[in-house]
Amino acid sequence: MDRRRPDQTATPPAEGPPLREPVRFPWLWVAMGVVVLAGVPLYLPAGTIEPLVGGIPFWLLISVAATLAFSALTCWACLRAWNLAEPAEEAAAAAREQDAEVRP
Amino acid sequence: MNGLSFSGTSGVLVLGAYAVVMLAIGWWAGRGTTSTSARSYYLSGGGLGFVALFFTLYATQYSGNSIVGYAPEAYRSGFSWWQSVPFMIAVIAAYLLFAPRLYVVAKREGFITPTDWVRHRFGSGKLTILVAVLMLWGLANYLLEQLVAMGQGIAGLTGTTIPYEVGVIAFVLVMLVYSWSGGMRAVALTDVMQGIALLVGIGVLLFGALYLVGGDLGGVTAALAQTDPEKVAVPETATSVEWLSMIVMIGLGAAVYPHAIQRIYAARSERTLKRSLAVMAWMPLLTTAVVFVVGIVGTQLFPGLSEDDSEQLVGMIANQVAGINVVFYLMMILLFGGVVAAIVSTADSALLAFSSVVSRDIYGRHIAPDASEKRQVLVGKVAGVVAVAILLVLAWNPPGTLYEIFVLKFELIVQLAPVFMLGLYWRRMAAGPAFWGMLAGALLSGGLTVAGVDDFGGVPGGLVGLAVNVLICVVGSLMVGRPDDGPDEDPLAAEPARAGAASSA
Repeated sequence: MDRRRPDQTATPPAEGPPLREPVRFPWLWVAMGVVVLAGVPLYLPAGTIEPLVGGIPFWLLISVAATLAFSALTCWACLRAWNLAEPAEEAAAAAREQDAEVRP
Repeated sequence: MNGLSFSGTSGVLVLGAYAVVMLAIGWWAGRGTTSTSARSYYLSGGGLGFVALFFTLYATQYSGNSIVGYAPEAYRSGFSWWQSVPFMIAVIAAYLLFAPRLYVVAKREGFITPTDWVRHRFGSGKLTILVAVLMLWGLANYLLEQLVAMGQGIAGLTGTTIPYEVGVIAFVLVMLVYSWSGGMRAVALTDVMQGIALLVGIGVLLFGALYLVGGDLGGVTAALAQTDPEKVAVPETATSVEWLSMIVMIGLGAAVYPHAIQRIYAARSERTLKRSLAVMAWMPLLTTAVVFVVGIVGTQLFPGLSEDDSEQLVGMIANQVAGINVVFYLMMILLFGGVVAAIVSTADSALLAFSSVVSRDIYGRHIAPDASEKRQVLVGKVAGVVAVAILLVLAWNPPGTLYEIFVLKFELIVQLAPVFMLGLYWRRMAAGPAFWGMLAGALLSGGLTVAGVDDFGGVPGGLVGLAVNVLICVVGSLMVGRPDDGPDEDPLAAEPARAGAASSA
């Protein structure tokens, strides 16, 4: 495996948000494991239906809540834990725009 | 859906309109595509923006089977089929294990097929050939499944006004025409229309199903608890183990499908890719969760169906919903148009990926390395047409006892996961152990399927094969690999130097 320090971010670039990669967030994957396991009713006795909440068995509601958390974590990781090429791409795009403005 | 007879001529008209729109979008999209460049044809020049990328990810990941196949599963399995929601989210979570770094490397190196990564990382050897073969096998089976579903969907929608075979051939021709002329750009832009049609279809199906039961989901559950308590109760341990296994296997397997990986390459920017995936993380709640509810409602609308009869559940519900009034009738026609559009959108993506692997990894590498890029693309197109023709023959004449071999899909594709998810990070991972691990995993999981052994206490054969694969790969690499065997692909490695330079400036 990559032997580098498993810190969450590298030294920030001169400006803009620090570079980030989802695999470097150990807690993210632990949290994902927890919500996935929480959503699978392995820890409950088979055959249990009650209590019902609004007519729905509680175990399904736990699964639904865990699934929502799984989506939220995944979405968060995409938007906040991932920043590798974007600073360079945005800078290049800005330079292209500036170049286009300068040309007659 | 074969029993669906409410929409004969209207169904023909809707399908005809869908076909014309697909052709028009394909023609329009194809204007900017050049067949002389593989990158332009297979990856739309790596320039897909947010809307096109999101919808092509969506329409490719969700096929017609996500509606017509998953609703009967919920009907038969009950609440344990909620697993279809987390296992579709797991696909996006699995992307996060490799897509961020693969995107950077792919843009830098100009990758076109998934095998390009394997060649870059492990060199051109037997591993790259095995990867290409497994990809072609998995893609061909995926296409076969879509072709069968396409025929059933079209025959069902039109009440067999359009016979099964005619429907398939007509839509296959439409798909081939726009894929041939416009490549990835045409596929992605038709996916926008097809993805919207699928979402609208699912929405109206849910609305119609809830209308039929008066919106009382609690009542549906209470009634189901009386008649089939096992469908409502906490499932048996083996079922829960299978639930967890499916999250792992489908998550890892669907993320490394060739057409899934090519969408990483085709993104215009990292910003576009991660935003598309961020929205995709919520789509199972709007798709498979909705279909799950429809399947559960079906237990009250049509109780006591046999396994075979339950396969027609969506058609039965649609028939009943269509009978409410003319508005619902029109909405149900839209639903089935959406189902067919979803099948076509999944098939076209698999076909394009199939063509690219034949064109670049087989023809361009091993048969005619000196061939021009234009000729490689042409060979890929022709190979795609030939493959579809052969698969149509297979679809209509299933090869009896060998049928299990032709339905192997996730079991084989998931064996590709280590070369992407380990190979990107572990420089010691060596080509030899990766090859033997992948081969052993594929043979074991394929052999188990052919032998009729579906699972071990809920753990599917594909996952057992993957465990063997990873074990051989890791132990073998520790024995024969060297710490710096692979290229250093860490995009953060240069950061301290860059920051240091910035501070000293």
